[in-house]
Amino acid sequence: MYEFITFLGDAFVIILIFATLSLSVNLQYGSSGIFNFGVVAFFMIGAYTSSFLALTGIPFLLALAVAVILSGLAGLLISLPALNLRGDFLSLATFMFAEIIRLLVLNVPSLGGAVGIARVPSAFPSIKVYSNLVAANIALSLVVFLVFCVVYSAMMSSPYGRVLKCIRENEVLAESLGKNTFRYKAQVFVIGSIMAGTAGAVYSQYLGFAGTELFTYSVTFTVYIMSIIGGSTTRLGALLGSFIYLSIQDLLRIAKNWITIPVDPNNLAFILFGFATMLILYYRPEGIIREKLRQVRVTNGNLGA
Amino acid sequence: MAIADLLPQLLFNSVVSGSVFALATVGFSLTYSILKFPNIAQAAFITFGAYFAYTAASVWGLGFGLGILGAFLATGILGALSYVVIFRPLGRKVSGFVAPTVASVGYGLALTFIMQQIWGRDLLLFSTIFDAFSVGPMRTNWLWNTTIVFTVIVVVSMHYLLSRTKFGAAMRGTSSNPDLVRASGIHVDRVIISVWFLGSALAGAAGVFLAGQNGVTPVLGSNMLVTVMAVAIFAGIGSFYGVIAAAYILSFAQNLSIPVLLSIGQPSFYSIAVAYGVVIATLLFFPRGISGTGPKVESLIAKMRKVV
Amino acid sequence: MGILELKGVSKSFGGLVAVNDLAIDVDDESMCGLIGPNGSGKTTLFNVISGLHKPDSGHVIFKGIDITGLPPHEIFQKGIYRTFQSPQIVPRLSVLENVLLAGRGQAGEGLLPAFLKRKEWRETESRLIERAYENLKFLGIEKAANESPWTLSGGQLKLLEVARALMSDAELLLLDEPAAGVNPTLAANILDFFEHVRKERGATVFVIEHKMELLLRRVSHVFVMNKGSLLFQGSPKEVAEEQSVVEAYLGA
Repeated sequence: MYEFITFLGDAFVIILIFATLSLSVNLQYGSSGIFNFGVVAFFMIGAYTSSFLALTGIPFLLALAVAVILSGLAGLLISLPALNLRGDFLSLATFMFAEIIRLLVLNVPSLGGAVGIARVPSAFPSIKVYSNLVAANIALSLVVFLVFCVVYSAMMSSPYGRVLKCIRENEVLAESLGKNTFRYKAQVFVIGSIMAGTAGAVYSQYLGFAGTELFTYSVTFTVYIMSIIGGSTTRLGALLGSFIYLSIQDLLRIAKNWITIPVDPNNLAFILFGFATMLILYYRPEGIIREKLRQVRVTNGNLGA
Repeated sequence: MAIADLLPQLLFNSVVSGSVFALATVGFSLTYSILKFPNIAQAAFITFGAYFAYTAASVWGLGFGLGILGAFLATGILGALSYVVIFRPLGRKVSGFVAPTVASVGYGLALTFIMQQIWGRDLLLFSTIFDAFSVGPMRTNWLWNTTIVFTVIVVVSMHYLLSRTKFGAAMRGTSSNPDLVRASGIHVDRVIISVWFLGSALAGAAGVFLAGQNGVTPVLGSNMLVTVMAVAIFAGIGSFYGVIAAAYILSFAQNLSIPVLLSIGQPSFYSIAVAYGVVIATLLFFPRGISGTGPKVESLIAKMRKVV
Repeated sequence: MGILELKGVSKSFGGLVAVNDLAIDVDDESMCGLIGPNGSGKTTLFNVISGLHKPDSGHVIFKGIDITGLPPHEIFQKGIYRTFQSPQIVPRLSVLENVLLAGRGQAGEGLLPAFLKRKEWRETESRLIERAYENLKFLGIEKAANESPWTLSGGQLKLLEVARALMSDAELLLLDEPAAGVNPTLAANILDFFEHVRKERGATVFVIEHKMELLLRRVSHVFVMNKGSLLFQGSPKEVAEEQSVVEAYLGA
């Protein structure tokens, strides 16, 4: 029973970390139309930055702060040339950037190389009991996710968010109505990168490890699938997508022990996700949980909402 | 060993790997140009070709040659079906590049794991052994020779197709001016299906040549995906000749930089950086690629065209 | 010197000359028309003025300031509002929000103020919502305020554009065929609405329009373009009687 609860707890930590990643995609792609196909790069930058710093004895919160800054800076640097490109080329450029950075780290031993960084200190060095550590990490990853939910909501429910949606659907109109679309997109890109970087920092301290095999482009694909399925325009959609993806994956892995199915459950999970993605894109492109049109209360005259 | 000794072998190796790059990328570039999205499932097509050839050649015992042919045809059919069943309906329902791109991600995922389900995760080696032999200063084997010969045949045939036939002209015209193609009496959709067939078939062949010596795993194509994108970007999306040139240039740059790096004391893995550096430079400074057929940089101006 | 002045403006695309050494002077608070056969460069000219294209040569001067080559968002901020031939909407925002986008002075559209100056932007928002709703009511489409613009008819979308123009408080309105594709009554109404904007707000209205009858009664001055150059200009009556104008249209 104890093992089951810690198993669940462990699953929740990962779900929340990936929910934050999905939220990053939701902000950039779902709400603003920026198809950043290199999200994993910032995930990795956050993870490696905080890991290196933590190994030198720096407390986690400080390492996290630096990771946040560095991910944001990286996002800014990439956004400046990349956002000038046409949408699909932006996706290729960011994809390439993520791969390049991964290969760089893979091939430079002082950055961890193929071996990666081991024995990354936990954010809770004083907690020795495993179940308590899992609980603490649930709290940490939940706080991170919720903080970014607040950020997301503050952005999207304000006039700023209205401009983002306009940019998403009609960039020329946004420009013609006085919005500096480049600046908006760069800001969103940076904040999205910060979200991903923070998730990375939490991830690597939880695993106690950071290695390039954790940060391949498959992660970007996975996060996009989560976002598309759960709902690419909402916070709950980000959480739901992460939850559905990871829990089905876990369930099918466990199911192997209990029932025999002709198909290897590991494979089945991904085959299902692949088909689910295609079906959702066709039948319900915004995902399961969609954004609603903002309503203004109106009687005979008008009541502001 | 002096560089001069290595040089012929490096050059030869570059030709071989450049050929594989080219075969793998042609389909990606052409479908991108026509349907305006990067087909991520191209990686899975490459893997599929290798697996199909393995089954045909080594399981059914038909031999490697028939394996190549079978992979070519089977992957071509897979590609054409992918367009008809997935990307054509999706393109009719949703506009833009995002939906088909993410769909291709999901599709590639499903295909890869279906293949893993059928053939397993372990490395499968072809039963054919390709013994090395010397030709002048170079060591080669029949696999490599076949790769080169195959690619030459493809290039020559495509050149003839593109420049001398009506169909080839339609292929060239479909991405930029589909109405004109339609007006000349050709079914645009048939052209598109053919492009998918051809591009995927070539990818399947590339997979066979990739796996011939070292075997096939489910990630065979995925490992090639980044290279395919790099070649396609450098080439300029949509140009067949651009892809050929880009494939060989990148292959040569990568291979020939190894001795250069070694001679200045740098590790040889930086040779990959050469290829990626080229791609970054392309994206930043000349996104239209070496053939000049890629998109313009000014995204806003391009969008504006639709509005005005 | 009027509110808008063009000096020697030229713009080519590849080998095609779209606008050729054009000089124009638009009077303050006037309503002027821009006509010409298809392909004469009218929309390109608007694109140059509104910043979507950089001219190859020449200057665009607005209220005495050289705005040549500025990006579109800055040109809007300087006081120019431009509509497009096909109505531009944001499908996943409500009709009201579509209009709200054109509002000025909403600090909440900035990133930091969105977080930090909440009280301020909420107040601005209430005011803007009232105004936007009034604008929609004025045009008779307030019932759709909370719906998606998908639900509006083609004619109603044109009215949405008018609502945006009202909202924008622009001093110069560049209207690219604002009444295209709607029935004559609505077309007349739309132009009357803009005339109202001109009178009440002191705005200048520069209209591209194909239907001469609509313009004749309302504009004080007409510019005629043909093949990228200014063919003729004058009062509506003069233009209607000018031989070269008639020939240009016949030849097109």
